[in-house]
Amino acid sequence: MVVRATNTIIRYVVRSVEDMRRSLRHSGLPTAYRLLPTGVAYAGSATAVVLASLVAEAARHLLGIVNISLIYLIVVVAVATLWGLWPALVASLLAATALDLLFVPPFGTLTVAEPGDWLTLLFFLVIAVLTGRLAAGARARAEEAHRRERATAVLYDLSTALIAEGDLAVILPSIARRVAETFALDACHILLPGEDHRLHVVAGFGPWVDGQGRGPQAIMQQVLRDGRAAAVHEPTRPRAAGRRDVVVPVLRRAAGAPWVALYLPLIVGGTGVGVMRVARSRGGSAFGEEEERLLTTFAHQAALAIDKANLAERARRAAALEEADQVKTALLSSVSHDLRSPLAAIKTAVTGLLTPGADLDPQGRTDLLAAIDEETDRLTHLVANLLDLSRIQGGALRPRKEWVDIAEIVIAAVDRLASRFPAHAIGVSVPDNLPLLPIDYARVDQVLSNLIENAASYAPPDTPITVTVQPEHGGVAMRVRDEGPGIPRAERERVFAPFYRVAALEGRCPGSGLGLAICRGIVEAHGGWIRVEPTEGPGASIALWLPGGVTNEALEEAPTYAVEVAGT
Amino acid sequence: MTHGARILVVDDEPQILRSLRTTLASHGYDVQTAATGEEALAAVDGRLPDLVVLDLVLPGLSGLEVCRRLRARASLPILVLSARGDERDKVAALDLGADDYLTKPFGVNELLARIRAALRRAVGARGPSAVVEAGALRVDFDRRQVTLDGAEVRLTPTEFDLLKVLVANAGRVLTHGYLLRTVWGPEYEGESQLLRVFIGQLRRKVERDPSRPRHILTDPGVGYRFRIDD
Repeated sequence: MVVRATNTIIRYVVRSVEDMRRSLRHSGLPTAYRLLPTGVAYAGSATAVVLASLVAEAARHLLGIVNISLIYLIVVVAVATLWGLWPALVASLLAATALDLLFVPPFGTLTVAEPGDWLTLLFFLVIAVLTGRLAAGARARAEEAHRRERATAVLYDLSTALIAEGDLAVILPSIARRVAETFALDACHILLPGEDHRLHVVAGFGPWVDGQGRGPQAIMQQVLRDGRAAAVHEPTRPRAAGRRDVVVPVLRRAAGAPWVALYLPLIVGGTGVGVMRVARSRGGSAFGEEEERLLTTFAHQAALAIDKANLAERARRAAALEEADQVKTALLSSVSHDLRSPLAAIKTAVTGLLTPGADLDPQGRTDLLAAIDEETDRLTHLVANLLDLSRIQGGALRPRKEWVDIAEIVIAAVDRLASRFPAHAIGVSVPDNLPLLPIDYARVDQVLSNLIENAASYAPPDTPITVTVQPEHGGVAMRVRDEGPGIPRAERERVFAPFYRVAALEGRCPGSGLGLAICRGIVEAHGGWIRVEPTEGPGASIALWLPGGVTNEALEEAPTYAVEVAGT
Repeated sequence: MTHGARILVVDDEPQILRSLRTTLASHGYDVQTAATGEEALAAVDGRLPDLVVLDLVLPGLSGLEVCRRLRARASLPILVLSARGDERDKVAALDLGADDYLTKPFGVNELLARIRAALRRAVGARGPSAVVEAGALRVDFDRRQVTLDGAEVRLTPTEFDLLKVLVANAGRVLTHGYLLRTVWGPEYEGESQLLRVFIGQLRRKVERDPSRPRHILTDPGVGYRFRIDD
């Protein structure tokens, strides 16, 4: 089996004709449906006539010629039932000849002595042909009924599968496979229009027209446009040597014999959503009207599946858009305030400095400049957060992972923030020999600093903040615990939404409500989690976990040899 | 000595150019400006500046390309400016031979400090002195001897080589790739965890408090930097 990626997300599964033949052998279809009447049927007819002759010969003293002819009649009916009309006609002629040779005097010759025997032979032949036709017709109807019954069963299976499965990558190959099995096809492909409006094979069976995954676009485009099926005799001559295309072996074998292909439109509610190509390698077995009608029903199932998947995709996009829209609305109201206030402060200070004739003392100048400096930092911070948020929401935040000693980040962050928040005692508990983690140093530092800053901003002065780190579940868990007002149980999940701020604390601290949303985005981009944990006593505890990790020992043991060689 | 040095500032934002020219000139530097990479290369063709401050985001010729061509032409110090989050560009610029980087927006004090350090290194780049002292740490290159608070520190050959590269480039940020290439060889370039382990070991031996390093500093996402002055 060859699996090839196409330009779409769906993978294109090609199975060799051998695979398909194998599955056909196990498909339980009636033999005659799979194969046209062959020499076997005619040889069988002849054998049956010979056997009947032996039986008749044994009974010739008991039975008259009329009863003997009935034995041959049984054979003709049996042949007609088993192999159809033409073998039955052959059997009729052979039986009449045997009757003449063996039982009509003079024996052993084709001549007939009595004129009455001529009549007997003629009646026999007429009756044999008539019953043969009747039996063959009954057989054909039974076969047709069987085929319809099977097609209906397969259709039923398909429609149930469609309800259960929404993934086109699964359902389309399955449809192609079932159609090919049910109709004894050598190839069945489903094509969907891509962004370039050309039709591309997304699932299929057997060789494609030119073995390349691209087909006669013009025919397919017309089929899609008109919504009418097109039957095509496709030349299968191997491509001229020297072309880099690989000719599918089957095509080479069938060289010269044109394939019969049928292009069926896949239509839902009057709109074409794709094309199905079904093909047989034998020139003789063109697609009959009844077969085309059934194939159309199958094509409709494929169309429904595609339509269902398209609708699901549209709904998913709409939901994402709606969410983005909500964020945008929140962003506008929040940002317009958060951006304007530092800008206003800067403008006031700068114009104060620039005003001609303003008599500012050095202290006044320094105050104004310090205000500008602070407000610029605020703006910078806000813009950085907005950028991070848009990266996270656009899925563009990709951590630059490297092997990092997490203790280094924790201790550096705590040291840095301890000097910024002297009113809090920030305690750290970091065990020795934590594993190295594959993480983005700067991003994880950003998360940890943000959590500690939050704790220091919301908790009252002189309350302790503790940061604990410990190995957990094959990764490392970190907890930032404060003794501030805490986070109400109902808001433990919502605090991670962008622009969300705990209502009870609104106004107590400046902030845009972006910090925790960004923290979650970063941690999840690392494959970890972050959440508010219940605490005993007052305060909040935020836990985060990052996966992976290698202990120093494991690393030191592994590369020792190479290191010593390199170091000498 | 650093006063009066010629500095070429390359940035496409006129406001930044204006304020940098004013500020640097007020600190005694001779400032030349260029708004594009092409202008910068043309300016260098005339007379070599003593240092280039180069923004990596430029119209036309990219900042990285300018960095590469400047480095191919002369060994003058290059200080690159980049936006926050563009660690890839920073590392690429450092690997192309830039000496240091600053993340926008930055304070002028920070810029002045980096300029002074880069100019000092350029002057003293005649080769590392045989003995370097950094606080309580003393490294003797010739005798391959290291002491902390007077007590000898035993280093493996690889640890010593790593320390030597760091100390010889004191003040400069060295990328992970550069350190791995220089100390272990080109085939080790991607082995950042190996470097982590050795940096950890080195800190345990040459830092008084390995979890609060004073000399071997991490530049997140970029590399390591050795600081001489405690």
